[in-house]
Amino acid sequence: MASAPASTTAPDAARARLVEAIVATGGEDRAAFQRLYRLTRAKLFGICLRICGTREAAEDVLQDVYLIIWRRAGGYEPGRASPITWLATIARNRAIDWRRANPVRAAAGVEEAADVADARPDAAAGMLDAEEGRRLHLCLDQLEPPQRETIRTAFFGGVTYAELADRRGVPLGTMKSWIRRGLLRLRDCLRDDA
Amino acid sequence: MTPEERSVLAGEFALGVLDGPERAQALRLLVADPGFAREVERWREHFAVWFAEFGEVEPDPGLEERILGALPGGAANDDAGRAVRLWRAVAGGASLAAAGLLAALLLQPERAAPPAPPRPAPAAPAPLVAALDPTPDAGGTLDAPLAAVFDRATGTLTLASAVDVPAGRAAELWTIAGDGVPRSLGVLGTGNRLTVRPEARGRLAAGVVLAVSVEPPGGSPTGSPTGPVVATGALSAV
Repeated sequence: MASAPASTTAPDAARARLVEAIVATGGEDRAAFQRLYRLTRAKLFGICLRICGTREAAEDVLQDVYLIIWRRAGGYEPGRASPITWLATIARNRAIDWRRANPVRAAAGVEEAADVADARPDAAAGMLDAEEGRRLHLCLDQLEPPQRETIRTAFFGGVTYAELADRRGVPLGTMKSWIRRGLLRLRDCLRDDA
Repeated sequence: MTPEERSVLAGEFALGVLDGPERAQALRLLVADPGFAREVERWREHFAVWFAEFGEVEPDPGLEERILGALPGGAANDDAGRAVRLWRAVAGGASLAAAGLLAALLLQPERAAPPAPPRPAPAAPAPLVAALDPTPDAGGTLDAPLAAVFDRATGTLTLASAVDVPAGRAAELWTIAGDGVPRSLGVLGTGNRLTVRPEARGRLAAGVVLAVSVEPPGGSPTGSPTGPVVATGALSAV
């Protein structure tokens, strides 16, 4: 079974390996699926754990995530989305679904996973589009601090307006207005740069 | 809704901060408005750069075996029995969860315009919508309710997103009316659309249950569902 050869460490090679594993998984290749799991489990588990808050919940969600990946892999279009973005989006959306269905357990577990959020960009960073990233970060820097922080918190925590307002101790309307104004400015900034 | 408001709603939806009626409104736009769907996609691409900042954490080593063991494998006989049980359950009525989402989709006023002005073109019949609830027993093919819209003017049935079927299989749509017998509408095509043949369009009416099953390419060879039923929901007039 082809687990990562030591020579391929460049981002392009990592990306190609992921694409290959997803496409083969789409053909119901179990060995490729296992390879895909080994290449991506830590990344996707980091996302699930951050959003779900406890290892137990995050492992249940992670199992769902890989079963979804197994079924959807046949529809993956390599030209449309980067492989890690495609996988991470499935993980984040599934973890958010879990949060919405288990609000009490989710709130209790947040502290346990808080330190997962702001880890430094890791090896997977190389799989993402660096140019896109610079643009977003540049535009984010132009936002007021509360706008920037709440948009980031929303993304990393997978939380609703109501939860965000609760955590910051501000009225719901204030929270909505921060994020909406932030999104509007981000939109203008990202469009100007395009 | 102004273009700015629409763009912000797309961003809020992509970020995941919406719930309740606001989320339902965004879901409804996602089905009805390809421009909105593109805008959501663009926001997702922007936010995706943050995925690099989620730290890596190793899950329990035993999880790999658990996941590999949970992959669907060769239990074809079991699938058939499960399909029959599901059809019985479906004939008994649509699920409460689907009804709840549907209510959210329908009850949220989209605009504050007064209802007084007469409707233009009363000749065009109002569309039918359904929230298709995933059937967990079918193997969890879907992970969230799926909105469906039937445009009575064009005979086009559109789903909000793709139905995940294994490679080499197709998603087939069915109606189930009072007699509880599923009747095929056809196989879902590209763009998650299906143009219903004119003679079958009369079967789509409020209260009729819409169901999706996984079938061989081209659809069920028997005229009845042969694969697992992955989602069901009742149609309502908007």
